[in-house]
Amino acid sequence: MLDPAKLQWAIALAMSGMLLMALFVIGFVIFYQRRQLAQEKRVNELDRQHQKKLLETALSTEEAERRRIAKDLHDDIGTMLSLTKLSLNQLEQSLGNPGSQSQQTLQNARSLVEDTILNVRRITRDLVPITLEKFGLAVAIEAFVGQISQGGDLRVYFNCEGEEITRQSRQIELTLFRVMQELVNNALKHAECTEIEIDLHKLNDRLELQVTDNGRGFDITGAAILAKGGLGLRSIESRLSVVNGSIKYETPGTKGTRAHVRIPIELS
Amino acid sequence: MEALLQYSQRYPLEVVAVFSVLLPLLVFGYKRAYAHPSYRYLWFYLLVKTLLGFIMLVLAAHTQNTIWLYHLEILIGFTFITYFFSALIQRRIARWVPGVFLVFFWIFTLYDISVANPNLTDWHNHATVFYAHTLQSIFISAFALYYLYETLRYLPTENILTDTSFWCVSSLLLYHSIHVITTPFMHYMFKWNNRLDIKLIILMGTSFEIIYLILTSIGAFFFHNKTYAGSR
Repeated sequence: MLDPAKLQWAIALAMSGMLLMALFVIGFVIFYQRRQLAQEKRVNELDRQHQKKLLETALSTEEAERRRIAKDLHDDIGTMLSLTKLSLNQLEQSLGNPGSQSQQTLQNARSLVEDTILNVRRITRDLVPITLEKFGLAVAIEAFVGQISQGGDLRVYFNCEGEEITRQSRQIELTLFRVMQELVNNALKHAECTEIEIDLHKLNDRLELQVTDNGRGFDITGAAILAKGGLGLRSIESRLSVVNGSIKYETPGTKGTRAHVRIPIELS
Repeated sequence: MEALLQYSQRYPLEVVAVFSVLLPLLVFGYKRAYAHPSYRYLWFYLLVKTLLGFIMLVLAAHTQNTIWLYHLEILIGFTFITYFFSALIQRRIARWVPGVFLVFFWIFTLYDISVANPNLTDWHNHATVFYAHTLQSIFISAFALYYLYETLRYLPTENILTDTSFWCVSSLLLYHSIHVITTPFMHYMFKWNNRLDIKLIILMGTSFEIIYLILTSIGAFFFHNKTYAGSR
């Protein structure tokens, strides 16, 4: 016969074992859920990195295509237009009857060709900002401001006084320039404004760009921007996401729009 | 019928345990788990357990020895459980291990039956094995723990609490972990003469069997044949 004490000990051991197993299973579930969450986080981070890489590639491809088009425009179309202008000059000289109908038509044609040459140069400049690459952000923005404020009632100001905007990486400078271009173009197309102010500042760890207009403004809540924001606004967000930048919209005073862009840079 | 009713009145929990097997069997059957490569083995195990359970109930009600059926259940049950785990395990090399254990277990159990019953033709005094059931519980617990380790390593499902295999394997682990301690006493408990009457062990064993079957039913409830990705 079995010793009752041993029997009790065995039963107690069985109960303890059972309890231990139950606690083990509960602990397993908790541990599993935690690992699952950590795994999901890792996958999401990888996905985010991958999306960022894809976006970077897309933007690089876009810039490369712009260069190609600018080069073709300059080398092919630009050259042909210049030759056409030369030919028209020669034709004008050979006609030799100033004031005649033919001379008038010829001068109109030459004027059209000259305008086309200027437009092609402008398009080439917009496609590839050579000034940006050679002289940096501040000079490029100043040149851009000079172009858009020629003639008309529109006043465009650029503030960068007393600030030394050191050269940054090509990606950051190009991103900020393109974002500025897009914001100014949006203001020109949609805001019905008479004044645009561009501010560029460099802080220790970031570059800040502000574009303010006195136009009619727009709904600046996040949901509205996402829902109704056109390709332009989404393009801005995409470009900034590649360089870990951010953009915030606000209404300065009672009307108009201010876009506040921040891009982190390496500590100087 | 009268004998069955009287038996049910004397041993209600044991009778409930026999009928409890119907719960996971029917739920799995409704979900058509028998068509699934892994769960068909579990389903057949439950089917065999149900059939043998009912036969043992009828024989026990007529005061006949049912230990030989109990031994048959151990052998057939362990076979199906082994195939079930082989189908669940992800690593190719590890899938063969339960099969090796199965061969060893059959040899050991047949030997254990012969040692516990020197006179095999005496059906009336046929006694429970000494160690085979304990060994079965140890093996199944080991398979279950390995499967849980694989689950933790490969993270096959988003929500473990809705995973059928988790419920089935955990219930097997809980049930057999207690049997490791209680089954050695069965040789002394289930006999006609000089029996060791430890009601607590029978109560514990039967109660946990019912709990194990309820947990398996919960796992069966979550089973979806078309979208199941818990096994290969």
